Amino acid sequence: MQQDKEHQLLEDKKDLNKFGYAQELLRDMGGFSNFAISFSIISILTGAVSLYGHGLLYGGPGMMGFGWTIVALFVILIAASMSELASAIPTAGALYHWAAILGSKRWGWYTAWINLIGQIGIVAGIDYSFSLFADPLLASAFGYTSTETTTLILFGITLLLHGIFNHIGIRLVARLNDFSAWYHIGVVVVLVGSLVFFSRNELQPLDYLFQVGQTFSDKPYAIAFLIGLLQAQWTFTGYDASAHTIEETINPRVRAAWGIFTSVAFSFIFGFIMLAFVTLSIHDAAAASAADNAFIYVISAALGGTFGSVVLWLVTFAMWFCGLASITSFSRMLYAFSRDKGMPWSRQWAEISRKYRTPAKAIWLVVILSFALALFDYILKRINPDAEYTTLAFLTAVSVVGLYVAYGIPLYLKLRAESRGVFQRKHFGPWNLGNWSKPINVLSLLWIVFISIMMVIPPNQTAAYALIAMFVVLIIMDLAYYRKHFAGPQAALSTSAEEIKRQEAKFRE
Amino acid sequence: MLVLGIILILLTVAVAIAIGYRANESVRKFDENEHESFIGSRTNS
Repeated sequence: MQQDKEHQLLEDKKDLNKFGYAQELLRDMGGFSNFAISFSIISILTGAVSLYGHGLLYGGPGMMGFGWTIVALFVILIAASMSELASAIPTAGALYHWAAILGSKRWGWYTAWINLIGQIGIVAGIDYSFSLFADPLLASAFGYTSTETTTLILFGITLLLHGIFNHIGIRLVARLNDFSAWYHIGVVVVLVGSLVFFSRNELQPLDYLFQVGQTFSDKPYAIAFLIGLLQAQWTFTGYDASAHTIEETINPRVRAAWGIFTSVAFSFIFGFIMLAFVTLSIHDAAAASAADNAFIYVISAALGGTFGSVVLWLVTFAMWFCGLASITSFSRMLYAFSRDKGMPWSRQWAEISRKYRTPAKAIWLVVILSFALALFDYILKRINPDAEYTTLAFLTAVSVVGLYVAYGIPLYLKLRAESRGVFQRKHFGPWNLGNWSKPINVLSLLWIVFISIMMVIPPNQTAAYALIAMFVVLIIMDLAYYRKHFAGPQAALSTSAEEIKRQEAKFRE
Repeated sequence: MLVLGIILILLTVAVAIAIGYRANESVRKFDENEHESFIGSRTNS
């Protein structure tokens, strides 16, 4: 058994060395851990719960039945398309590396930065969600008033804790992620069981879940429904984590690919069960959609104050695990991109801690960038207190568009490379879709284009402005410096076998 | 709408199972000797 593992580790290292990279990160994750990190970041108890009010406000109860399922159907196709690429090109750079070698180094550079913007949004959005739930719960326990400022402070403390855990080591974080996956399933079971057996109100009939035509917003229903899709679409983000941790996964060409795909598929099922029962327990949908936090309102109304608080604490802890995993994923992406010198001060972010074998400086950069994004929005709201959008809608829209555009670019380039005969059947990894690959890729791309537009239409236009501003900065950076100086992952192909061995030896000492 | 909703759910589950089945077949039939790593080229700019 141990011999099999060592043989596999050697094969994985050889695969990585082919791309010119040394095995610097500790390769210790099994298939379940790889699945667990994406399942924890998708976190049905974060996205679907924290944006529950958004979905209900715009799409009414039908958003939970139809909205969730429509989004899941297309995301399953996107996940399958990404799994294929992860199996074919198994490096931690993932989306960025795929784009760079399927298209060009500049495609790769832009993909990396767009992915990075989305990752900042997702880390900030997740930990902000945790703070939005934990702050009022703590406020009622300790007798202070929850405000945007106290939420921001709690958000900063949460990021700090996640930074420390990630710095200390992948083994600890992997164990916590494994636990997190089971924890998520356990909390869904507890939540559903509580609503079925202890709800104060009788559950609504099943067709309530598919009731369309009712919106609590001032928009026409069709538009409102599309805006409400942000709830499900944001939930289904971050599963590229299985690809970013590919250099820490044993037999990643198969396991990381399955990790991406199964994390989405299982999230759909458990998420649907949870949303169905929460929605069926709604007594007054108009009041719930008007509440500060619709999910807390529904659970408290159904289960009562004390029991409701216990269940809400369980949900809130799931968000904490989600934030922990998202920093792991983001830091690996930063590490991989910096390894190819795609960022300012790249050498710093690509440095691996010899003691913990984690990209320690990249981890702390993630913490700072995520805090800065939420702080930026906090300051904007101080300047313009009448803003219609919520901080969470802003952060989540930024992350959805950033991540999905970054998911879409390599898919488009793969189709282009296939049509030019550059990427052929022999290049597919073990996990592939065969003849189904192209149609699934095309459907995935169509959905990405559609959803990227939907996520930034009013009232979420601030996210569009922020994304445009960031993109302008990218163009300036590219034209001013990186166009000539960024060598891309292709440069690593020149690394000699001796140099790779020398780099790997540093971590064996 | 209930019927439409249930059909949509069943369709989504069926798509996920079909893709999973297809991918599993590919993994089992994979032949390392016919595979070539796609590592890009040094001149790719």
